[in-house]
Amino acid sequence: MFINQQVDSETLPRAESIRMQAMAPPYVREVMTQWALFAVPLLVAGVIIWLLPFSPFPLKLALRIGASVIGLFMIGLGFLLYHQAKARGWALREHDVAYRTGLIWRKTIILPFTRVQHAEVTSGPLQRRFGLATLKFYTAGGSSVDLKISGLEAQQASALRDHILKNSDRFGSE
Amino acid sequence: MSDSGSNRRAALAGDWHRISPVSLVFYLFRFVRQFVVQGLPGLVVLFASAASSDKVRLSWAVAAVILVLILLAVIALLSYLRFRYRICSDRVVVRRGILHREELNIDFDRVQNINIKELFYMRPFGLSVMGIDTAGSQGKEIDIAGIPVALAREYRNAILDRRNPAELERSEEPGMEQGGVQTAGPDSTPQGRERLLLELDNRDVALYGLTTNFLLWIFIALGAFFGAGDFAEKTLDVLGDRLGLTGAVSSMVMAGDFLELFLWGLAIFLFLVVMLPLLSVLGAFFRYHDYRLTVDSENYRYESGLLTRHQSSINRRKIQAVVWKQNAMGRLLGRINLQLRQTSAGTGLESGELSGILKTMFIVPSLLPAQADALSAEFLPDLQSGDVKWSRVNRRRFVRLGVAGFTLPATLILITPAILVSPLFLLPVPVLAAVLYAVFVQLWKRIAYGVVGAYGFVRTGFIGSTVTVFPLYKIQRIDFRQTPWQRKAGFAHLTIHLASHSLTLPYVPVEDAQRLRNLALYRVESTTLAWF
Repeated sequence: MFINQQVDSETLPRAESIRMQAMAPPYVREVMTQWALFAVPLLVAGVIIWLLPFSPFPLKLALRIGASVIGLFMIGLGFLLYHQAKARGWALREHDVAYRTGLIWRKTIILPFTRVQHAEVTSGPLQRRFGLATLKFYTAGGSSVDLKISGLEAQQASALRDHILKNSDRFGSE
Repeated sequence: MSDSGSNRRAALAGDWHRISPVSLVFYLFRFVRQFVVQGLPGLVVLFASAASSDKVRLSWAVAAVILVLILLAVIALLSYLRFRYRICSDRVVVRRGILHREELNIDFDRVQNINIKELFYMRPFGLSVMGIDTAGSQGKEIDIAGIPVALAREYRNAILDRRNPAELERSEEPGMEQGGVQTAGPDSTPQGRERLLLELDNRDVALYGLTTNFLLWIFIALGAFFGAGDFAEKTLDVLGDRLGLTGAVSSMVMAGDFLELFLWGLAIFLFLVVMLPLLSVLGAFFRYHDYRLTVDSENYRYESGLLTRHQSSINRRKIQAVVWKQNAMGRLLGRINLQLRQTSAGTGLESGELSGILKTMFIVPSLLPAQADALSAEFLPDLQSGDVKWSRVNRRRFVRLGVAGFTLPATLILITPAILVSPLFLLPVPVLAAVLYAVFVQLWKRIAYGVVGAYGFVRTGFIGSTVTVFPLYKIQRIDFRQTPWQRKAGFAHLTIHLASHSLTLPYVPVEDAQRLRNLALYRVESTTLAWF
């Protein structure tokens, strides 16, 4: 019953040569819109605080420093999010799906189809606005092992889900 | 109870059944425990305010608690009255719930394992609690309390073999129909084709108490209280395997006061050395007294316990990994404890339930190395653990970055007082660095990995070691992680997710990581075997 044939590791399919494809183009815009919804009010508030004439000097200085720090942080965050969204990628192989995330800690996840328990496609209001969807794969390893791919085109996400689910029970349960 | 014979025959026909009234006690215990665990902060506040304030009188607080107890008793009664079960040809059906009524259907195929617990107050009646764990349905585990133990065993065998319970031959168990005193002698399964694999005597059990993580019992208790069992288990692994050194180090970083630290350390040390082993041995006796491990075709089961008898079963197909645990004490005494790990989803492990942690660990305690080898080969067919060639992770990176990871924050904390008060504040830094260096070199010596045939091996540890052996084809997901610096230098972190737990190998040479990943994916994707 048990597989134990000799395997030549040099001839195996190489996961490191997978060519990743970037997320759907509207994804970066969606991420930046999310950032803007959060950051713009804060930045506006910062500018107002900067301009308001507070009387005692130390208070004014403290407020200005605070506003600048928050402003710089938000801009830095935007920069980071932009490049993070750009760096994401995914790929489909015959038997598995690969997903790459992370700017500094670059992580590549490979999930074989046969390990997918079930899958769901979700899209929030903002995602729908951009025609995007999130595809989530549930695995048996628990929530930390579930794979979430956001930034797929809505149609693509459903097609991918169907394709993977079709292939996930190739061997049945036995 | 007197009609358990007819009850049993009727049960086999797939009718609906009620459970014994003894299960009232079971439900009462369960609800009181839940109430105490969840309501403990509230209770403390209640009594504290009763003690300190004139407005809330102590008698009121006591009355409130009594009221709650009565309420819990009513809930227990209703739970007992509402509970029905039925065992069909291919599934178990349970109806339960008071306000929110539910009917649970569990296909035999989905059953991960079945535990039969003869709780001490059930043993005089020959009753038990049959716990059915399933894959992938969290919080939907079933406990059938107050079921005759002989019947529970038959069901278990049938369910694990995926046989139709109605086809069981009924004459095979003479004398078991009587609901009288059930002696917990040798397992009385009807098939008689079981093979005894292991029997432990008192000395073995005492040794298990000494060689298991002393902290296990405490952390599990804490985890049950704070609902952080997963965290507790991880902390436990870290602390237990490294003998608390890393924890002590980080508290040293935070405390800074050496005399106090020393006194605390001494007190904790004495407690650890004297009390914990004693408690641990005691705990081991309650749980693992008279331990017998048997196999029946592909089903492994053990039976153990002093007052409450536990029976746990696992099918060979459901074993996701075999973990060899040997802590410092185990090394000294030459004993290894085996854990058979199964899928963690659906057994409450994620939600941090005490029961989940205990249930997902099928433990084979107190083995001599040769026994551990032989049994591992039994659990994992064709395993040749002797052939492992251990590969190492990069020493320089592992040790340097590990030391820096602790030393830099400590330096940052100490730099302000060093500038403001005295440079002497920086004195602990080189000491810390030296200690950490020794610790990380030791940790590095333990971290290793290897592949033999269809199995992967991962070893970690500090003084003792934890070796996880898993069939490559049961891997769920593989993560490959690199920083830009690692990309340049050619190293990667590889995380292997099993259905039971995850293993991370840091600073693996990139070619090795890639080869391991490709091989594992090949095994997963080319197999026709189910992983569960």
